[in-house]
Amino acid sequence: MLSLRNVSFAYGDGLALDDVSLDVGEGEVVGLVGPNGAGKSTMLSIISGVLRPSSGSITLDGVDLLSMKIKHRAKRVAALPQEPISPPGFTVLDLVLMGRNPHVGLFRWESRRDVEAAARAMEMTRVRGLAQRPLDALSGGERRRAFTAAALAQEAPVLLLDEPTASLDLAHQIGIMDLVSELRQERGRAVLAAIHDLTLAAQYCDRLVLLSEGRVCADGRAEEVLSPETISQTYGAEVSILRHPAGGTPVVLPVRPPR
Amino acid sequence: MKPLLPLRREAAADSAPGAAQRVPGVESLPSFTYPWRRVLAGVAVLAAVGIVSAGIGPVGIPPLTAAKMLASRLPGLEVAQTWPDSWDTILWQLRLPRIVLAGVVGMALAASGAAYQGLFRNPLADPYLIGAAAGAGLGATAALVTGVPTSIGGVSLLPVAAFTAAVLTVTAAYAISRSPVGAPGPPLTTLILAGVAISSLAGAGAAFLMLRSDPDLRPVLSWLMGGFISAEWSDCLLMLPYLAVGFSVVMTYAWTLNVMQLGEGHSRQLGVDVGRAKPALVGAATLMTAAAVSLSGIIGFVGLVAPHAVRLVWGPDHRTLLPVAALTGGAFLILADVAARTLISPAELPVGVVTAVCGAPFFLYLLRRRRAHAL
Repeated sequence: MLSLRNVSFAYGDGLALDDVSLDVGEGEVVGLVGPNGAGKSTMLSIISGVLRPSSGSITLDGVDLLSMKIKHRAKRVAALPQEPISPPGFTVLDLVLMGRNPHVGLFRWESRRDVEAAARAMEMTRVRGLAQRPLDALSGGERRRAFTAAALAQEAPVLLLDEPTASLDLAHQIGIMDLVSELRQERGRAVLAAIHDLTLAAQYCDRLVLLSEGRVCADGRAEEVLSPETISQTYGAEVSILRHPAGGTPVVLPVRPPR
Repeated sequence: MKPLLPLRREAAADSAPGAAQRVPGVESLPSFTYPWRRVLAGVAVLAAVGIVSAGIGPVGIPPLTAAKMLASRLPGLEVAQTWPDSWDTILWQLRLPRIVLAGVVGMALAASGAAYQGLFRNPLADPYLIGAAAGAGLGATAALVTGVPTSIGGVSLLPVAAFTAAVLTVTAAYAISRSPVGAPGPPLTTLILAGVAISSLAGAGAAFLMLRSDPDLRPVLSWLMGGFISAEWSDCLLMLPYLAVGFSVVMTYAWTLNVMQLGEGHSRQLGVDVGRAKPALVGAATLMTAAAVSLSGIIGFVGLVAPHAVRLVWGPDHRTLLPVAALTGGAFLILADVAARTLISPAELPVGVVTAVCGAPFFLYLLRRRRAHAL
């Protein structure tokens, strides 16, 4: 479905992405993992159109995304930024309706259909009851769910998530990741999510792509990608890998260096 | 004791099983209907302020009579004349042109202020603070003191010169304050600082041009004084197309401005063509500022006070904010001009003094309140 071929990107003098190729299939949740500065956010920004790659191609079902008009691309790719800005004074409903931006018509008044799509999205992320609350009055978890609702209201087949669980408590982390799995199953969306927590990523993603210094180091099932050797090479940290008692997915445990 | 009963009954009704079904359904979500009432209320306030102001002056005209005098000029309306002929001259030749010009200039400044604030995501952006007004002033001065003809075929070139220079200063302020690594939008304080620095530079440039020019500085000086002392109907006519074009462009982007409050990167992800919206908005807002400055000199703080007042009352949705702020700005500047011509009558205060006295404390208050959010 979504396919990146030989994508490179340079920030000023450094190469942030170096010849990256990657596929995300329909109904697949792919976790993007790797140390800080590996190029995860850059990659998501390139797919969502915030940054232009210096070379390479990005296609969705064979259609070139890079030459597409911004509005048309936004109908196909929705993204949840890592640290979205909450504009003061706007309510949750206002925000979720902004997610309808690629769909609203020429005169820029939202229609019944837009409000319904916003309502559905708010139901899925369970912020429906907060619709009229101003964004600045929400807790961190509520705000993230509100922004997730805005991305869902975009109704795009590809969903990009940049650290969707960052700074959330345990229950909210699971809530967001459950929602992501739900989306994959019900709507056949392709999801690409940058996730820091390797254990959580292993639990919820069909595949993991390990980025390091702008290159894809490993791409495959969590069991294949997460080994003490690859993690030591890319993160420079010693870890033990256990099996999750429920489900058998890899659990990554840091090893404290002996003193 | 008695009042407790109905209170209890209400509380009981809330926790009754039926109450659970009152969880809002899709139907209960408001869909957007354009708030015409707010705009109409703004129009009514502006008209009322205009009529009352027309009566204020050395010769007092009661508002009702002023309204009648206006109505008498409307086609198809027969109004018996109950006022001396001299009042007609005072109203139509002296006061109304001045009031209408203050109104349209106020509208232009407030609308462009609201647009700049939305565009730069900074409630402190104001045509005056980000350098647009000073740039327009430099452009207009240059046109006045150099030998260039200030009009071609009766069409004044002053707004054109002001616009060109204003676009240059705003672009410069924005470019300088822009963070180097394609980051979304400039840091907010930097934009204001760059605007202030460029304003001083443009002001110095204008002063230099005047010193170097012909001894006959009267047109420049009277213009530089600012205000609406020499307002004529032709000035109002000149202002209208700029206001109409600028405001229409800004209004087409009203919803986009809402989305852009999420920041440049996020709004691109939501399908906003920032590369097209930004120059269009800067152009339209600067056009309105430039036209206003070329007709009335530099008048500060209108573009700051009016949008803020509206935002406080009716929230940040630009589809309401832009028109209502414009109307409020018009009313504000008319009132400021009334104060300017009556407070120390028979002498006059520059209207910019009045707006600064109202606006500067307001600005300082905002600055102080926003410090908590690290500006």
